[in-house]
Amino acid sequence: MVSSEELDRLRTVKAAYEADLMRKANVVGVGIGFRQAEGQATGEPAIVVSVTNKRPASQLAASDVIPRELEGVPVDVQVVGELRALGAGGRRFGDR
Amino acid sequence: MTTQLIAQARQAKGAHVESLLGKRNVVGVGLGYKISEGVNTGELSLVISVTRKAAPSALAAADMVPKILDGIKTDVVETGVLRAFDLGPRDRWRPVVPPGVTIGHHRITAGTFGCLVRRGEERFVLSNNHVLADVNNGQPGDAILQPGPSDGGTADDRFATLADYVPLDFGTVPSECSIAEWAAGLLNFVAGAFGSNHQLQATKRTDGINRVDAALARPLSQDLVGNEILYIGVPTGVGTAMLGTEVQKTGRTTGHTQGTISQIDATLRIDYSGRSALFTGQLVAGAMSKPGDSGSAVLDMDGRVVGLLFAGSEFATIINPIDDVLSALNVEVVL
Repeated sequence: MVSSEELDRLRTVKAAYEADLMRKANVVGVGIGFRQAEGQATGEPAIVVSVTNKRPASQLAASDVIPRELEGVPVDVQVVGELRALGAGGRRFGDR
Repeated sequence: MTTQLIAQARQAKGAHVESLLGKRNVVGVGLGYKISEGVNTGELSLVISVTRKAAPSALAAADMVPKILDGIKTDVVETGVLRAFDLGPRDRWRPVVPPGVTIGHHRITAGTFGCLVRRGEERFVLSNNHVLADVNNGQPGDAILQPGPSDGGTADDRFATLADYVPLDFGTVPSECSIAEWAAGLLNFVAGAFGSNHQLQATKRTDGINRVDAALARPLSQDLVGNEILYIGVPTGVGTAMLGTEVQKTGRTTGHTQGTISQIDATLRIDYSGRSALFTGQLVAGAMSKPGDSGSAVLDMDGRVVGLLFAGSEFATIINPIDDVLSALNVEVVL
């Protein structure tokens, strides 16, 4: 369980960097969650940056690289794919 | 029809029902009028329901149904295999449409009826704007179908009408509206020269930030909709999901599924058929939905409604916190 002090701290740091993070390549979301290790949630709270797909830092412009931490708060990059409104596939929303 | 004749038929049925049900293909025995070449003869008979009719030559003697039993004629009727009435989330539901099943605005594909809500005494169907209002394109009174169009819904399946929605805000893209702005500015200059107070706007300038994708439909009659969510039951209340909260939903495409809240307070860009909308304050869960599940109510494992499902990917499910949905539409969940 995350304490409310921890949550407040995460919210403050997230708010300060969110707009900047959302402008980076492949980023579609910024939220508060747990850092993942090998696909499993650890108990460690983090700012979670959701991306359509992961790319090595060497293939990204310096301005698109996501820092590993912000003001001491861990930042975890998680692949979320393409986020879409979930109307049924077909005429208007395309088959998926 | 004399009561004496009915008593006689009942007696014949009682005496022979067991042996009749033992015969091949027979699935039912009842009393009814004999139908001869499609015409009701008005003659009381023992109606033997069979999965399929077989020629006498194809049947063992013991499997033949006698033409007369204790003076009562028999009538063999083909009914096919009889099954327990078991409707699923993509079926047409009547006389009562429960939350958790397929619905949709007549111009869309299909989404899900989330839960029943009320404003005062009036009850409404809660789902997404993109399910009930066709992404801001719907007009109050538009037909809402059950099942939704993708599941075969037609004008005959109208069960509600669009009542209210929270507009989805796509903001504006400056590079795409500069010419329109210039034109509007010119027209406004002309309008000003003629003393007109009517100023034209190139595009509606908005902050482009959304909290909810939500809408209400008004059922054609108040008893046409239920509050018992398919496979879950009647909600026990309203709650707030936290990190790690276990949640469940019933949706049109994937039925009853469970997941865990992996992010709160999430800011996300969501694709609506090529247009992108920004959402803040969202809940994120793992993969527990597919296209068509939009509009599902998300509940914790104690049956409290915590959110309204509206988006996702192969890895994630995106949920509006229910408090934001209820306050934006000024409604309460019907418990």
